[in-house]
Amino acid sequence: MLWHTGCGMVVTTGYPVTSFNVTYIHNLFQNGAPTLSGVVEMFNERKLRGEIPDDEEITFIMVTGDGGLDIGLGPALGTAFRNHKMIILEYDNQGYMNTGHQLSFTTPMGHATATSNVGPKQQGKTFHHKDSAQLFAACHVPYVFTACDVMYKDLITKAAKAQYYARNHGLVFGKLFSVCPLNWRHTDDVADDLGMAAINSNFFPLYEVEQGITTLNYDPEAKGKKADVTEWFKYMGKTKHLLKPENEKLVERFRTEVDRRFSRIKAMSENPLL
Amino acid sequence: MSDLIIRIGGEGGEGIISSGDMVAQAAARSGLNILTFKTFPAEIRGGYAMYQIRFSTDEIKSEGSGFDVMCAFNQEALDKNRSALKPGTVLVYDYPGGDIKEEVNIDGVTCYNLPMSQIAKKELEMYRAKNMVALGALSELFDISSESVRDTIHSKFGKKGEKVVGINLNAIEAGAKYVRENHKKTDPFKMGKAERADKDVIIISGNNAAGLGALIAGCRFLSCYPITPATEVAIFMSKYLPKLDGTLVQAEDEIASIANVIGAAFAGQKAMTSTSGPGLSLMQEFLGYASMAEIPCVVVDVQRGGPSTGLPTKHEQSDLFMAAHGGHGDAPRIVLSPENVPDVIDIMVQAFNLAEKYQVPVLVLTDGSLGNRTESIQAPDPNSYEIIDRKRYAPNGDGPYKRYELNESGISAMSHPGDADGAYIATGLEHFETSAPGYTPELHVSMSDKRFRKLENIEDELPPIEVQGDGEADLGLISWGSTLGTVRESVDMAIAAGMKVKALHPKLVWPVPVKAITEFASGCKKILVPEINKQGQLAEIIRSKTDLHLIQYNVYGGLPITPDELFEKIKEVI
Repeated sequence: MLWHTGCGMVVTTGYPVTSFNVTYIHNLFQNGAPTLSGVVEMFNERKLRGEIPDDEEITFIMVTGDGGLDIGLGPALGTAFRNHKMIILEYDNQGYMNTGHQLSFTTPMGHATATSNVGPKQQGKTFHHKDSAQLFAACHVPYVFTACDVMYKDLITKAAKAQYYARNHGLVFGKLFSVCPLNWRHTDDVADDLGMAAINSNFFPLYEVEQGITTLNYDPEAKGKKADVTEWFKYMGKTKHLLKPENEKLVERFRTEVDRRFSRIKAMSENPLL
Repeated sequence: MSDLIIRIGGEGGEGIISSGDMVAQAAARSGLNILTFKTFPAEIRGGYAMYQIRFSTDEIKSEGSGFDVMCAFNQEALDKNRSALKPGTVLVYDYPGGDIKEEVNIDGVTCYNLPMSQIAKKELEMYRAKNMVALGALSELFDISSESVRDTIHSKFGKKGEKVVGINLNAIEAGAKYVRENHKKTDPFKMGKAERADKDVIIISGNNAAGLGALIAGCRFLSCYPITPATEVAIFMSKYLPKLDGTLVQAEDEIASIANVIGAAFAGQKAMTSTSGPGLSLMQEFLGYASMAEIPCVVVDVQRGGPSTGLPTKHEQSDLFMAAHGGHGDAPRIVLSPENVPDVIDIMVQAFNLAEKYQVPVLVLTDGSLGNRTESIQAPDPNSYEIIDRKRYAPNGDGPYKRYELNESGISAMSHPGDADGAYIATGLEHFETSAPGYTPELHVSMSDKRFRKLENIEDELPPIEVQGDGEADLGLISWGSTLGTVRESVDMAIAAGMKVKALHPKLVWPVPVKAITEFASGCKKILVPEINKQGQLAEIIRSKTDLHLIQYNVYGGLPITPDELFEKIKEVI
């Protein structure tokens, strides 16, 4: 296991009170993916040499926030191109939370952060969010998935698949929708509703790309649950300004982009060639 | 009162920093000078946080040694500071009903209990107001003007409405009332008031001062990647650059940041980036490019404990080797290091001036404690600074433009994109005067010499380096950066104690100011170099340029040296 610096690392790996009973690497966050791929290759090499039993199965996981996948995107893509047998897991809370909520490339347009302010000259972030799952899908790795803990059965199924593919085929990329009550400015108890609203608004489609075939795992419209993006915004302080009438045009631009991206995933899901 | 130090300690996120800020503001409103010192946990919440405020009617040179008053918000804060609770100091602590479970009695220490958690929870029904209860009690105990505290509350919370102001004022009063009803003051510490000669005083942090200095110098472009403890520089600039038609870019990493800066500087803008050690490591290749292509740029490095991720929120001066020698090849650079908050402003202006004049990268080394600390300073007058702009190309019919013209000074005129007849290649390859690539031995020699010739006499072109103390000395101190404040205070102590001690205060640390150092050393029997790093980085680079025998004093625990510690060291080596 390898963790990039970030909230997840700070909270879960405080040795010896760690959440994981395995040895792990914490290195700089532009280098996590290639560092772990070095470990993977050495493990395989030592298996070949007979120094590690052939039936020893280890899953290699590199965990990063969306921040680590901004600064570390190039090396992470290189790792994907080389198709090492490991998992890259991104928990995306849409900002650099451990340094005080600066924008990340996954911060959605219009959302307020410490470096995308709301005021007379600007209404939050000025450009759209990065689609990291599709970036890795374009690397044609064996398995890509998105998930959210509010749909936990879906998440656990995908975790099991991820482990299978990382052990037997090559690189897996997983993207998790991850709330941040402190910087999104919401109370802890609405986290589940908020996550569900993000999914139902089409902002965070739950899907997987398995050996190049896309499957949409949850279609809000088909379930009769389709919600507007403003249903998601209403939970958070960082999007409060987007509910004002003067920002309707900005929200419309965001809604259009979110729906366009969702429709593409849906079309891919309906056509194996895509 | 002439000097008082109050330290507030507790868990990060409990309002330690904001209550400390308010004490500092109230003191400055009462006409006192202030200098604050903070330590944070690396995590955004939780862990031990400390805020120390030094007040004085006189000039304040450093954060001081220890404290007079400790205010402990929890057991951890009490434990961490117990050894510093010397006879004569005062402890104010959260008891009963808080994290501290037993009454505290320490010989010679005046202990005042204050149930701040309990008052906040039960009386005010708002645990978050705990820090305001503490602030109220501290004002009552140490005579911090209640009028100034109220003004501070109004200016901080006024925008949030009368209700919020009211809640905070109630909490302040609850803390003060507890003290009035339960304690009889027995310690001598009082903050009081002073008449200030200058009215135009601001409280500003070192990081904000870096931004302010840059704006005064004419910087209108900043690109950075957020990093502790330098992010505040960019946050400051993000507020002011748009108002000055400037540009701020948040890049995906430090390589992109310095590349953005070089692009903007090439296009004619005064540009900078702000970072800390790990970021400066990433920038090295591009800084070499700036040396080679002769593009002026400024990098502020708010140093932290290294190497690697190191100690992100702690104090260290260990990036000097990298600032002076980082990157490959023979690349000229200038490294400056300011001493205190007002000095940061002056040094930033000087950094841009030198970058523009010599067309080189200039690195400004501050550090975590200088970046985060606030001081009350005289508001700078932007018009009082001399501002230098780069030498621009003007066609004179003398044939094609020679961007890298060989001349006596080594400084050649720079054109901007679009300038008539001013086209050239800004290249990292070795090049001829016209900028066309070339690799002959003669060319590389003449061009390397040109690039270094620019800085040959830099020491003579800057103001003379300040010497503290006079005459022949038994011991001379040479230091750099924020440690100079401590040196100032310790040397004053040593001189007052009758010792023959003096100190040199260089702000230019690379190229090494050899003449000033050699002259200073000639009047000292021994030389001591105190600095906050393991290897003695300043001592080493001085040794590389002189044959001086230097005694190193290296402290590298993540905290600055205190004046008392340095005074002890002076007594030991003299």
